[in-house]
Amino acid sequence: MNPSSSIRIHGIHYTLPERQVGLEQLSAEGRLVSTPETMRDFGFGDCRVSNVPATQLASTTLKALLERHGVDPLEVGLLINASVLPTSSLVPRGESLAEFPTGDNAHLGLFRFSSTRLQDELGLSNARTVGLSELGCVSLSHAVWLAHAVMEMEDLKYALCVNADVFPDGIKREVVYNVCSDSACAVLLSRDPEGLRLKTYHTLTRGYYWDPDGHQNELLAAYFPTGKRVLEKTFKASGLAREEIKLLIPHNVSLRSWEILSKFTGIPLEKIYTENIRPKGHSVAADNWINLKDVIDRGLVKKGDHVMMFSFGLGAHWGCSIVQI
Amino acid sequence: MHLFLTGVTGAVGMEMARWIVRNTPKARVYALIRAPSPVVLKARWSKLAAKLWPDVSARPPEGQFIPVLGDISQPGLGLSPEDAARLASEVTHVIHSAANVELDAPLPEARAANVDGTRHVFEVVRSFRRLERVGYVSTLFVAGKRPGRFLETDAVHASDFVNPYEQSKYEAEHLVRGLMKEMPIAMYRLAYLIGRDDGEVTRYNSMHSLMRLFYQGHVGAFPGTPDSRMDLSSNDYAAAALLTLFLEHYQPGRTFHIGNGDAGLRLQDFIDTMTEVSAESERRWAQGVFLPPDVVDEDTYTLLRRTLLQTQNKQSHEVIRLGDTMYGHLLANQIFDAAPVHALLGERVKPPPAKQLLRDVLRHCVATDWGRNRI
Repeated sequence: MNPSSSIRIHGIHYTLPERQVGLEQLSAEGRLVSTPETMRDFGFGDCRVSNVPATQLASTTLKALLERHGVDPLEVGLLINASVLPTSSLVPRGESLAEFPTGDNAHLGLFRFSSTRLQDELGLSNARTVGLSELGCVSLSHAVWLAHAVMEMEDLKYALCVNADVFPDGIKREVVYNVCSDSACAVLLSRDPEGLRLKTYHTLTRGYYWDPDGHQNELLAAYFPTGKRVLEKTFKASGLAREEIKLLIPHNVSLRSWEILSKFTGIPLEKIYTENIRPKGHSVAADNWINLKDVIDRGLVKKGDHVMMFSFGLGAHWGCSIVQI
Repeated sequence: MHLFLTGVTGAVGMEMARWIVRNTPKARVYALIRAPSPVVLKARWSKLAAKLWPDVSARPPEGQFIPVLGDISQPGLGLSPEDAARLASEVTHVIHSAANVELDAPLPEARAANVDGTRHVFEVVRSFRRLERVGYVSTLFVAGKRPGRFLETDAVHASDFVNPYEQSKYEAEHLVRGLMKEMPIAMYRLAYLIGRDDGEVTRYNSMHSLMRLFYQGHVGAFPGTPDSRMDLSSNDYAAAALLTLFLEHYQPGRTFHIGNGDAGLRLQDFIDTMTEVSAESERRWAQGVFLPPDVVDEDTYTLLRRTLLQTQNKQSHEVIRLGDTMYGHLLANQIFDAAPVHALLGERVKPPPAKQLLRDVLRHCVATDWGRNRI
């Protein structure tokens, strides 16, 4: 990344549904693959379940972020909607302007994109909109990286990135041994020097693992060695030593996986912020940023500290960044 | 020499048969082979001979090898009275190499073949009136989890075992050692045999299964240290060393280690060699999509193992299962001392360089899809 960049992460806001569902209930509803005991052993507790669609979560989260920071929607030049699940990024049936297209226009239901509706709904009329999918759990981090790059290229004052995902009724909430919550998180980028600085973002895609079911065994074997190398490359690219990292901000995959990765990498588990895994679950692509906001709000990091953010998305993508508070 | 040989259909037994034909043309070999009838016995021997000596002109002359119908799991080896009488009156030398070498066979099954079978063999051998020498084929891995340097003179230890196979061989050694008072027996402990010097695999075993899973990107970590040793060797070397020691350096009551000793393959060299050769034919290795497994400490591996066993992933479970039969040796950081044998055999019979052997064996495995296709 450009070391003299003036782009900063200006604000973060997230929404977690209040409704909490325990592992036993998830299991009874057939929404786990493993037993509740295994998921508990892996570090999970309750998961958050939304009563409203992802598009609505995205909208309320973005609106709150803009209001909190007093940003005029017309000054936002870019909106990236980084919702992961296809059902999250399409405006759902009940919110359409007309009845859901039927007959000859049934296929138009596939084109009801939420990013453009968000632009209209929030008055972001000067924002170019981008829908970013197919990046799994690294999508919001990728979106921030892309927004950063676009802001470097264009004379934009603000950019917004959002991830909102809600698991549809009836499908499993356990994704490769991780219990997934519904959530939304929005990130505002600006040129305000008081913001957080994205210093490095290293990413690695290994398309061989594109099929998370068919190649799951290989993926489990590759996850830790690849994660270790991504961490090492991020350190190298940043020029920072391990000791200079105040905290590693994870995405909320299983605590067990962090215990193992900690041992693989030699980063002590105490330096990994894992407190949110049990109460909040893994919220697809939002949890790195939810955790970052929480550690700042809780005063666990101070101005000038460096934190590392690591995530992995099915597809398969490993992403690791270093942010200066 | 009138040799009674058990285990001729095994990896080292086959190689001993080849060596005998090349080096001791006057020897007569009575090869114990399991078969339901004399007709099937003859057919099995013909098939084995065709495999051992594809070139007809290289085959042993008629009468040098005499297949004998029998089964070590049976008292008296299930020999016919005629065969029993013939062996008792003619055999001068015995090599007992028949064994159940499945690392994960249940202990009772391993004991039945390796302890009871050995007892049955020696009960018969006891009746051999012209007996001069006996060789008992064992394994270096009777060391179990005993850490450090394992010597030829080491016999008893209180360490646990990595798998039932080696426990049964340890118990069989104890049995054989007891018999040394009444019979001239030498013991030969072999390394882990993975193929012939040219890489051909005649018997696929757990190591080949692990190599396949490695090649396919299923192995993420090995426990141990980069310097943990894997004493892998070739069938040819094991047979040549064993028979040379047996015929030229025979010492009843002594144990010989046939392996690489201090030149045993380092775990990191195993990983690097596997990675290098895998990249020749699998572009995911060549392009760095598949990454070499990490070497991790015991705690890390234990946690990873426990976690993978909590998943529903069958291939991951298979990697764990295979690892459970072998990795204990990596953690014990063992070296099987082979200096005395290397000194005895000198330049005449040397173990193949382990890295080159591994390269050739993996190339063979890939070319044949682990024995599914012919080259």
